[in-house]
Amino acid sequence: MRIRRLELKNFGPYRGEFKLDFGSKDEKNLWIIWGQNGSGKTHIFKAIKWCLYGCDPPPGSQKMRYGTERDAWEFIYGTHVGDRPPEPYMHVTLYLEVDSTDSKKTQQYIVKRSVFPSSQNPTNYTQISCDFEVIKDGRRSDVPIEEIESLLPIAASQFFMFHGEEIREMSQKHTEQTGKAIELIIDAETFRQGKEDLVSVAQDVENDLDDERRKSGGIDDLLDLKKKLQEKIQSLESECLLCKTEIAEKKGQLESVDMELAKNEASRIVKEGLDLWTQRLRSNEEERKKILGRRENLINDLPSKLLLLELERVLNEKEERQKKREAQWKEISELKGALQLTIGAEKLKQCPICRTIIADRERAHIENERKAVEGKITKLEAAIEEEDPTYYEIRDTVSKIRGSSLDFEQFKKDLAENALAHDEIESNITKLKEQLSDSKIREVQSLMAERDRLLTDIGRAQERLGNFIADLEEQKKRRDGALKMMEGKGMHDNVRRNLEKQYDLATRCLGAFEDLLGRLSEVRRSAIEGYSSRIFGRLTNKSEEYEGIEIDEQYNVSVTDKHKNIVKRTKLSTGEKEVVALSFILGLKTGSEKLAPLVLDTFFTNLDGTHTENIVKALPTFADQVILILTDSEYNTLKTIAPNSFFDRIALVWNTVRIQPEERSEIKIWKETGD
Amino acid sequence: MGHDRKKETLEDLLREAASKFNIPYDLLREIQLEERLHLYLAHTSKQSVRRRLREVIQEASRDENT
Repeated sequence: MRIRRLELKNFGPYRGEFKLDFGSKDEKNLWIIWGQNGSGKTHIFKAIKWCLYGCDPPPGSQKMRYGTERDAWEFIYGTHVGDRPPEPYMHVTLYLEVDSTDSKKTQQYIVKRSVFPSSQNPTNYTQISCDFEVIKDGRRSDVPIEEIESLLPIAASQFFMFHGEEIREMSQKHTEQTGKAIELIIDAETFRQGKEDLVSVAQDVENDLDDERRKSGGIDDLLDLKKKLQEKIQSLESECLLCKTEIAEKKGQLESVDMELAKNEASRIVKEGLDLWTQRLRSNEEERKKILGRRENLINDLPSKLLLLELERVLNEKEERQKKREAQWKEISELKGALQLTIGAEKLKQCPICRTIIADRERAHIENERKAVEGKITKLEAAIEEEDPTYYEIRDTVSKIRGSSLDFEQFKKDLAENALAHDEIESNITKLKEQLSDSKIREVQSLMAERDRLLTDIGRAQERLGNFIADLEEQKKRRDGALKMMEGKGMHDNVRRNLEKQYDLATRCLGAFEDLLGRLSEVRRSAIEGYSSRIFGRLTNKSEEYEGIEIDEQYNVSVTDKHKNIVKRTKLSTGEKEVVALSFILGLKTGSEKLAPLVLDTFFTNLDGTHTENIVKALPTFADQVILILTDSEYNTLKTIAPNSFFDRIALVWNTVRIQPEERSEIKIWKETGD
Repeated sequence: MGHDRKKETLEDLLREAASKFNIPYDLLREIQLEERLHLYLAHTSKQSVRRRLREVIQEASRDENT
């Protein structure tokens, strides 16, 4: 499908009639519409979409909204600026040509969407009427919507006509968008509808079969059991679906949180450092509390410390007396030893070695010696110092006080060290806080808390899902058992046998359908992965570093490096992410295998010179007809970096201008082909 | 060309699924029915689409019997 001409009257900011002639198929397949912001260039883009679909379908949308009066009203009155009343009559007409696949013939289409007032000076959308007609090869079609759907379905149009903002949005939210987009390509909606119809038919057949079974009699209990089990299975299946949806939603939210955290990567690192130092500060303060606790004990002991000198003096005196007493006791003890010896000697009659008899004279001498020792002992014992019971107590107290005075030194040392560490920690915290504003701290903190919460929720939902699936399998086994038991009961008549066959066939079809959808999805996913990778290879400015694009089973789109490892999205720049999104959307366009013009509105804004250059080089090869809508600055950039081959493909350039003071837009040819 | 390739893949997969689940290919093709969405768009009621589907299954099960 190619656009041959676009006509518009009173559409958006345009007053009166305007025509854009694109001409027939030619080697020159590139058209440029450029203008300043607010000059009406995006309304050309909107006019094409509104003419075909009656609305501006949002990206990823599978909702069919064909030409409502409400949308038309928005185009007439929503875009109206200034005091002049808007024109209540408008139309957009597209002249299309389509190469038919079965013959060499080219079919001509005229698609016209108009709006008329149904009352004078309409005040809301109920007072206007819309008309939509499609003329195919000179004949008005009875099914205009179906004609357009067969040319380019509304759902697939988003891969052909898109605004830069949509690419930027898609580069941020891949999971949600890609899943929906791939489903569009594999006609998942048709399959879902088919499956839904099949489930309904199988249910009808089953109800008829149950009626027949009931007629056979004797199996009411089994039928009731089967019904109950069936209800339980249905309820478990919905629970599983809810769990899966919840998991998918939470994963989407998690991805957004991760993206936010990635944006705040530097803040996050500082925040983690801050957390670490805050923890150290807490430990330091606890340590300080413990040290100060020791001071309490020391203060309690302080009075005894003040008495230390006095106690030491007393102890000295007591120690002298104690020493004297000990010496006295030592002397007495020695004398007592000598006394024992003399007592023993006195008792001897002869020498124990030589057997010489001891004479009386020597014996008398020993006796005198004994008496002398006894006398000394008595004298010493009488003079011995009295034992001082307080000596040991005072000695221990003094020793304790001296010990605690050592603790006091340690206490002072510990306290000083703790204060030093405290100062260091506080200085680090101050430095980190200077790098991070309070609002940033709160933002990162709340994101991290949100992330933890989501991970917990996902874990719980997965656990619940596992339980539901196990329960579901169990209930299905029980239901199948009940069905088997029914088989052997009751009479088999032809009606019942036929219904059983139908039910069996419908059930097999359902299985085949699910299998088919899974396999088709896989085939299409890998094909789109291939197309996107090839396009990405041409557009990226790091082709020596990146291998291609990978789309996993959850439809996450990632870039892979030369070793087939996934490159973290946080490592991709904003421009690179947009190139990934653009490659993917163009991969989807190729995968949709539809032939339609590629209309791109303002999407070079975030791209650097190399990316822009790569894209403009490749653009003319992406479709038979490429229409570029550019801001004046984008157009100026293109003029400086695009190669000659790009200008050789330009058929025509238009310029949109805002006319003041009427505040209306005009479009004029800006002949600048191949310059 | 592109459209043909897509059709070819779909038909290959339809044939494989039909053989795997022992179902007539035409029946599966009928259920998949590319025009299904268009029928709904053309305001054909769900009931009549489903009634037709039941007839198709009925006929196919009768054919299986014979």
